[in-house]
Amino acid sequence: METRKIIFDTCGTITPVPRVHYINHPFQVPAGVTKVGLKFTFHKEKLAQYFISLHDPSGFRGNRMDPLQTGNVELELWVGQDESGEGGIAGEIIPGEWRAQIDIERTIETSDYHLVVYAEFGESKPAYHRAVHDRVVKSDQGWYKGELHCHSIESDGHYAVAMVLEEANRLGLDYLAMTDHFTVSQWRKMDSAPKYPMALLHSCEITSHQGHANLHGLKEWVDVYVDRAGWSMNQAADATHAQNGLFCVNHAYSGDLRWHDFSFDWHKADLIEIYHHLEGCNNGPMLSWWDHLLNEGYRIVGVGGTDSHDPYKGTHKLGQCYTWIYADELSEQGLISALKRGQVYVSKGPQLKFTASDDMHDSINMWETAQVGGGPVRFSVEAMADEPARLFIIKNGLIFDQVALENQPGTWAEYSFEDTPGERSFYRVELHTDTSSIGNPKYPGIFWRDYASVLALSNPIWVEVDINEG
Amino acid sequence: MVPQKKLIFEQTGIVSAAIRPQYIQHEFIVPGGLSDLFVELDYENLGSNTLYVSTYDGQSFRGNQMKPGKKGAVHLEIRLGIAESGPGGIPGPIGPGVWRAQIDVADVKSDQTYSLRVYGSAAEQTGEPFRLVLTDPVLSREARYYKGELHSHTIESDGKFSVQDVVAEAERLQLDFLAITDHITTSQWVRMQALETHTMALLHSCEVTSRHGHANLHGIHRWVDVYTDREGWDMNRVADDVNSQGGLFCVNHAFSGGRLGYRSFYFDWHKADLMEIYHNLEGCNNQPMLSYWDHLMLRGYRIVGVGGTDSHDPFTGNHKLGQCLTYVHTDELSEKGILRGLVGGNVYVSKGAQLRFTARDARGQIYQMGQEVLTDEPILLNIQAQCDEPLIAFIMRDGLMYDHRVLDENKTDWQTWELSVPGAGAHFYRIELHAAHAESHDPCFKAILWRDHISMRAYSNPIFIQNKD
Repeated sequence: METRKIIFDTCGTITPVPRVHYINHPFQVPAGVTKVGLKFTFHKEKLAQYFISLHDPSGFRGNRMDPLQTGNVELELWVGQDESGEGGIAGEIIPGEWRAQIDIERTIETSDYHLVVYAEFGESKPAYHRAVHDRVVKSDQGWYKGELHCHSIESDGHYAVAMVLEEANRLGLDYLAMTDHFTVSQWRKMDSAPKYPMALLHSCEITSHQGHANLHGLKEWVDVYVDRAGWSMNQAADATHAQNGLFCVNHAYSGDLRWHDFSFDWHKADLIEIYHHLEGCNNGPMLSWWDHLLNEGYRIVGVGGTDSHDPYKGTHKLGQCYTWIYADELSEQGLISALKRGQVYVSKGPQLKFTASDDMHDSINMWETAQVGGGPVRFSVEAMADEPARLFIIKNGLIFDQVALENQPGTWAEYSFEDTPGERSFYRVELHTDTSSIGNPKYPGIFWRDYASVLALSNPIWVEVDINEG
Repeated sequence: MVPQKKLIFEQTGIVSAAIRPQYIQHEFIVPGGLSDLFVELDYENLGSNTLYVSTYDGQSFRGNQMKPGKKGAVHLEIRLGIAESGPGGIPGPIGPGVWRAQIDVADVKSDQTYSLRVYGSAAEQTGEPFRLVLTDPVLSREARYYKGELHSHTIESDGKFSVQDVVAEAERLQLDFLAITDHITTSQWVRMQALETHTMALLHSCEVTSRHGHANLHGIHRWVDVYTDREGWDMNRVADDVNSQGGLFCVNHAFSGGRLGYRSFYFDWHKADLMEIYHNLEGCNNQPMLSYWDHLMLRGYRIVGVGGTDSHDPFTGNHKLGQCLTYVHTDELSEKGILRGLVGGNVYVSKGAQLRFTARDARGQIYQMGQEVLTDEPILLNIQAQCDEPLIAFIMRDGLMYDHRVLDENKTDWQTWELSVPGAGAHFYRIELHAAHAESHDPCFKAILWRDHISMRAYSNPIFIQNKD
């Protein structure tokens, strides 16, 4: 017979000033407890974004959030030995000092809150312990398309992991990264889901007060609470790399959710979102900032993301924006290695091939380097789109050229060009919808391109110039 | 009695799309005793070909004509007289000797035939030969912000109205200064010389219009060779010539998308004094312009951001004057005063909002836009804005969004936002003001804020922070 006991009960007040990032409430869990749960309640008039997490003596046990709720907000989080509520991580209930942490993302209000922690004393069961394993879905080398940014009810998504996976599979995705905010409770649901022909990335989204970052290919949880002394985004990136995971900077120009960690060392970023399906016109500066980083010599691979909170509806709908990855095999590790290598493009539909050749090599891929000694580099673009497309070639962040691709829907169009750069340069290509509205009828030299017209974005090919060669 | 036009030179030719020449030269002999010269280029544009024509006497550039993008029969005519000239032409003596006509092949997608004819006539000379006299009256000695237009065109190149009409409209709109930046030619200076303005400073400007980009040259006193699509003469040389005259070089609409984008990859950005960070015709291409400016400043270039309407018609549509102004703080209203103010960088671009942006260091010293604060201590940024609609202010630091705030929505008088920022390190801060409305926030998360060329109301120039040591 299970018995429930309140083991901690406290009230407090959160104010906009002074700015506090976390409030921690430690409490004791006695021996014999088989389930720990909490209820965190507060009133939200307009803007008060508080999240709650639970930590046992040896680590993270889950996070809850409901950022869209107003009025009386109630967050509930519980963990047992072999089961847990949404956002919670099942496992051994270790007696000792636990803590509940309130994450004050942002607020313009003064709010009173109430935190109650309860414990249940039940029958002891074998504790859940996650076994890390990577399934090879396909052993073929090739292009794989998928989604690198989506959420489930484990954080603030609208559907259960099982439903998101089912829909992703129905849409024919080759892979999916579940990037729930803070928590990794989605991993257990992924591991126990039906074995779709789809690789699943074990991911998580840092949701800090200075920016968001997706961590991909993790073996275990990384401390995502980076708004405190002694633990920053840089350290979270290092911890991600220590697991051979990848660190991706998300929607860098998104108003309140913008990237504004000015102490971040951009060498630690492996990936950056260059297209985000909810960000509209903010995609422009994201892409430009990437060009800036490339010009500065950072090796950061551009990726896309839907940031889906609902796989079925509206701008959140899965399948509207893919990141295509050329991988040695379709498995989590295969995709992580391939993402790092950078033969990757972002697409809202079309397929794209972008290669170069120098005097020595015939097919230089994205993120590879052509070597020339004062001679030209030849580039080749192939694109298959369902609509007329216009190709923009970007060199070192400026527009090098643009041309209408004369492709029939569903067939490959080819375009090649060459250039003789005077210094180390990068070239990337963008495909845009070629409607009459893309060109200025009055000044035939003006073409408009933006997030709405974009169809596909390549990663760069580099050219190294050695004038002493030959 | 109109004197008889006599044909003195005729040549037909084909511009090959495969060879794609940049310029085609034709020399011709001008006999003595002429009072007028007519250089005429005709071509039937059946595709998307564009040719311009210019002419040179033994020493100097004497004019240019263009009708970019015109389809069908295109007739370009430079009419030169001793005292007067037609659009694009620079009047003066029609000296005998070898002259030259240059066809500038702006675009050739298919083989294009053309016919070049030069006519002369000899009328009795009336009036003095034209001589260019540059004047720079001081219209005010008050130190303050002056507002004006840095990018406009007249019938001297491809604008729709005369210099006189454009100047009159700019005066009616109470602009303090106006730069008429006709493409390639400087014949607008000839018309400006005949006008008297008492309230508005006129800049002597011209727009480089090449296949590798456009650039406004401001405050020059003689024509600069703007033909950069050839061996031995490029944008760097143009900028050097402009700087040697005390003028300013401005990179225009860098992401225009086609051949109007800035594609001079060899360009030494140290030579750019100004850069358009808002252009009223470029729509969404304004965003990469602004971002590229951030990139250049992060690389250490100090280029002052300016706006431009690129007006080809002061009265209508998005070409209408007064929609996008550059505010320049300077100590006097004159051409030189505006140039000094532009170089100083206490400048902002406005689509309706007024902006003040200063920084105060720990000792109380005030710094303006374009200045550098040397400090290791926190500094106080002071932003003041005024607009007839609600605004969101964005503080941009080193190209990223540092902070933002909705300014008091219910007031239309000056709003102030003060914010302390750390003084350590090398950084730059700049301000963007955007219209705040219901659609500024995403309806779902209330966290995403959209800002673009449509919501833009004002862009400041940066204040730079530098470590003391």
